[in-house]
Amino acid sequence: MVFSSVTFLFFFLPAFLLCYALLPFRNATLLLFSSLFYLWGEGVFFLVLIASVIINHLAGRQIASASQGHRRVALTLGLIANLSLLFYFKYFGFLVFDILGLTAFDPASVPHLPLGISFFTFQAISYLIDVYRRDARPADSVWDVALYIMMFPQLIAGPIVRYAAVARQIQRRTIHFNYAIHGILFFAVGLSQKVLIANNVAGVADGVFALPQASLDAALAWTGTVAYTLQIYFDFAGYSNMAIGLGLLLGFKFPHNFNYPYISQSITEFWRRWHMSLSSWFRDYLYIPLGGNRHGALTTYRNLLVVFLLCGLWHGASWTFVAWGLFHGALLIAERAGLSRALTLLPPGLRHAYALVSVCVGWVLFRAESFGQAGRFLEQMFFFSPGPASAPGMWEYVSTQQLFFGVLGVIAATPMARRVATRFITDRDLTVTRRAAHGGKARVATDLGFALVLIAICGVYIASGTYNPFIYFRF
Amino acid sequence: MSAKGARRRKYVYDAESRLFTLFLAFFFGLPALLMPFTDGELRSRWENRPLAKFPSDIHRSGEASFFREIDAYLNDHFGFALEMNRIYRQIVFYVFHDSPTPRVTRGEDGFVFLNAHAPGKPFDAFRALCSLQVGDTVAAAAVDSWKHVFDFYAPRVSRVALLIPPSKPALYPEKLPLSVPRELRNTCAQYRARLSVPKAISDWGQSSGVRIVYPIDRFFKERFNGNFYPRENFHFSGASAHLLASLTLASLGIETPAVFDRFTLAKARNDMDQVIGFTRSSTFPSFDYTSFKTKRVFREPAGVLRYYRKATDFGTLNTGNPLSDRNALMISDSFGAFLVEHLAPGYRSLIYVNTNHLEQDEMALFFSEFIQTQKVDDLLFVFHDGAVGSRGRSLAAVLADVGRRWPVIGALE
Repeated sequence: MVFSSVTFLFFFLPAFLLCYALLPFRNATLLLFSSLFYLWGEGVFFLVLIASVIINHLAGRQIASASQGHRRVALTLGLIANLSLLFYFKYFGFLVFDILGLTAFDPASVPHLPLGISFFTFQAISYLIDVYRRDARPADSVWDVALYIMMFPQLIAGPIVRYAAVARQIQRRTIHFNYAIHGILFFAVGLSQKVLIANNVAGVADGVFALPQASLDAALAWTGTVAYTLQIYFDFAGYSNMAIGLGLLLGFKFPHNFNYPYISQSITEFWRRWHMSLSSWFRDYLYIPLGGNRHGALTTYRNLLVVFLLCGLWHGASWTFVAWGLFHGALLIAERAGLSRALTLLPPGLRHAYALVSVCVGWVLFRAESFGQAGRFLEQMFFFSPGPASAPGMWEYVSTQQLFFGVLGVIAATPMARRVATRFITDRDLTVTRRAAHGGKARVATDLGFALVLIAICGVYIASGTYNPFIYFRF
Repeated sequence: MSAKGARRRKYVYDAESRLFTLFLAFFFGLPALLMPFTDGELRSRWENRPLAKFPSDIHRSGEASFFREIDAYLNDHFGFALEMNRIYRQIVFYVFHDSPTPRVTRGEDGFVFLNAHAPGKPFDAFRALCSLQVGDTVAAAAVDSWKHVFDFYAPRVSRVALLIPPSKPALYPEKLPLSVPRELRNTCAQYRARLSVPKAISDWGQSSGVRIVYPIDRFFKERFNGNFYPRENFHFSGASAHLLASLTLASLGIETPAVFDRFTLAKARNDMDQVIGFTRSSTFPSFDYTSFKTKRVFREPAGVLRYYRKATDFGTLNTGNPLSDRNALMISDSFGAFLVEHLAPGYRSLIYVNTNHLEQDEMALFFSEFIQTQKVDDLLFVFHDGAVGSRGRSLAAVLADVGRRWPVIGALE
C-alpha cells in the first residue's frame, strides 16, 4: 500500500487512527494494521516478513543469553540468515543473469522482490548488532520484535530506525498534543512533496528517459536529469517525512532522513545530508567495523569503496547501481585525498555547482536502464554533441503544471521557504505569545489549517488518479 | 511477554491528543463515510466507463491481486470522487492551462483538440489527419473508394452527396501548443497547401460532377469570425455547421431564404464534457429555425436497431414547413448530430444515423437493405476530414459484395 493512495489515505489511515485512539492495546493495534498494510501490497510474501521477525527474535535471544564465545556465533548466524533472505529475493536474478551470464535460465523463476526487504533487513540487522553490542536489551517478546520490524509508517521505505533508538518507545511512550500537531504537519508536507512535486516531475523524467537514445539532445538530457534529481529527492524525502509525521502521531520519534542535500558544497557533505539513516547505518555497522579511517589513507579509501559498492548494490541489483555507488565512493576518496582542500579555494557558488553536477551525474547512472543510455545522456549533457534534427521539443515533455511544481521543487530543495516561514510566522507567533497568554493556540490553528489545506489539495490530486510511482519502494 | 516486561510498559495518551487523533480519523475518513451516498452511476456516465466491482471471490484473499481489485473498487467508489476529480481537472485546465487528459490537447486561447479517439494512442487523430505520408497513392485510393460508393448508390437513390466537415487541427493549426510534436504541428500548418485525402476527393468531385461538399477554404476564411467553430468543442457547431448545411442545400438545389440565416448568440454545453471531465459552456450562434416547424423524434425509426445493435445516436426530424418536399437519410460519424438540425429545414423528413458503432458483420445489410427500405430521395454521407478516407475504404469494400441484395432500379435523378 502506498501512503499517497486512496486506500491508505481515505480508508486505512482513518480506520487505524480511530482504533489507535479508542482501543487500549496500542501496540497490538499497530501490529495488526501493519500486517494488513504489508499483506495488502504483497499477499503471500507477508510470510517473508514473518520469517524475518521469527529469525531475528530467536537470534536476538540467543545473542543475549549465550556465553561470550557463542554470542558471536549467534550473531553471525543471524546475519547470514538475514542476508540470505535479502540475497535470494533481491540479488538472485542479478547473480544468474548479470554475473554468471546464464541466459538459458528462465526469467520467470527469478523470485519476486518483496516490498521494502532492503529496509526491514537492515533494521533487523541493526537489532541483532545493537543487542550484541549491548547497546539495547533484547526485546521482551516476539511481538516487540515484530512491531520494531513491521511498524507500517517506516516498514517499506524507511527511515531505517535503529533498535536502540526505538526500543524504549515500544514499551513506554507519551503522545503529546504538540507532537501530534507536528506529526500532521510533517505528514502534510511529506504528502505534498510526494504528490505535488515528485509525481509531477516524474512524468517529465520518465518521458525523457523513455526516449530512444537517438532522439536525445542536450536540452532534453538536462531536462530529464534535473527532473529526476527533483523526483528522487521529493519522492523519498516526502515518504520519510510522512513516516516521521505518522510516527509522531503514534508517539514514536523517528530520525530525520534528509537535510537539504542539494545545498551541499561537496559529496562528503551530500552524504551527511542525504538518506542520513542509511549513511549512518553503513557508517556504524560497516565502515567503522572495517576500520574506518583509523588505519591510514589506503585502508580508509578501501573502506569507502567497499561501503559505497554495497550502498550501490543496496539500492538495486544492477551494474548501473554498482557504478553509481563506486562513482560516489571515488568522489569521496578524491575529496579526502585533497580535492576538498582545492574546493575550499573556490567561491561557494562553484563548490555548490561541483557538488550538484556530480550528484546529477550520479543520478543519470542511477536512473539509466543501461550504460549505453547513461553514456548518451552524459555525452549530450557535457559534450553538447549536435542533437538529431528530429529531437522532440522540450515542451512536449514538460507541461505548465510540471514546470510550476518543478520550480517550486527547486525552491523547496533549499532552506529558503523554511527561513521565510520562520521570519514571518514563527517570529510573529513569538510576538503574539509574548503579548497574550493564548498566542500558542493561534500557532496551532495556523499549523493545523496549513496542514489540512495541503492534505486537501493532495487529496484532490490523488483522487484524480494522477501518476503516482514510488521510487524507493523497490530498494 | 514476561510479567516484568509488562510492568515496565507505560503509555501516556492525553485527552487532547486523543481527541485530535479522532478528529484526524474523521477528516481523513470523510470520503469513506460518504461512500454509501455517492452516485456511482453518475461517475460512470461522466467518465464513460464501467466502475470497478468489489471482488467476489474471497478465496483469493491471500493474493496481492485480490487487494489490487479492492483498491480499484475503492478508487472508483469513495465519496467526493467525482467532485474531487472535477476540481483537479479544472485546476489543470484553468490554472495551469494544460490538458487534464492525454487524449485532449489544450491549445492557445482555450482551444481544445481531441488528439486521439482511443486512449493510449496520443496524437493519433492528428496523425490521421495531417500526416505527411498522404501522398498521391493514398489520395488516389481514397478517391477510388468513394468512386465505388457513388457508383453503387447513384443508380439506386435519387441523389447522393458526401459532406466533409473540416476539423479543428486543419482550421486552427496555429492554436496547437508546443506540447504537440513539432512535426505534427508543421504538417497541420501545411495541411491546406498540401494534397490531402479530402482535397483529392473534393477535386475529383468537381471534375466529375459528383456532389462533394468540402468547404475548407470558406471555413478558413470565416474561422475567426466570432466563435465560428466553437473553441470549446471537438465537433463543429453553430455558424460552422450552419455554413456547411447552407452549402450542402445549395449544392442540392434547395434554396434557403434569409430567415434560414437568423441567429442569436446563446450559451451551450460543449461536447468535450465527458472527455475533459467537467462542464465548460461556450457561446456561439444559435440559429432560429422555428419558422420551419421542425420536430425531432429521437431513436426513430426503431427499425435501425434491427440492422445496427449498438445504435444510440439516431432519429428523425420532420419539418412542417420545409424548403423542399424531399426526404433524406444522413449516414454519418459523430459530426452528423451537430449538422442535422441545420439541414432539417431543407427536407420534409430527415433521418440521421451515426454509424460510429456499427459492427463489421452488420455493415452489409445496413448499407444495402436498411437504406433501400427507407426509400429516401437524398442520401447524404457526412464524415469529417480525418476519417473520410478510411470510411470510404470500408464502405467500398462492403458494397463490393452487396450488389446482388439491392439490384439497380434505375432511379436516376
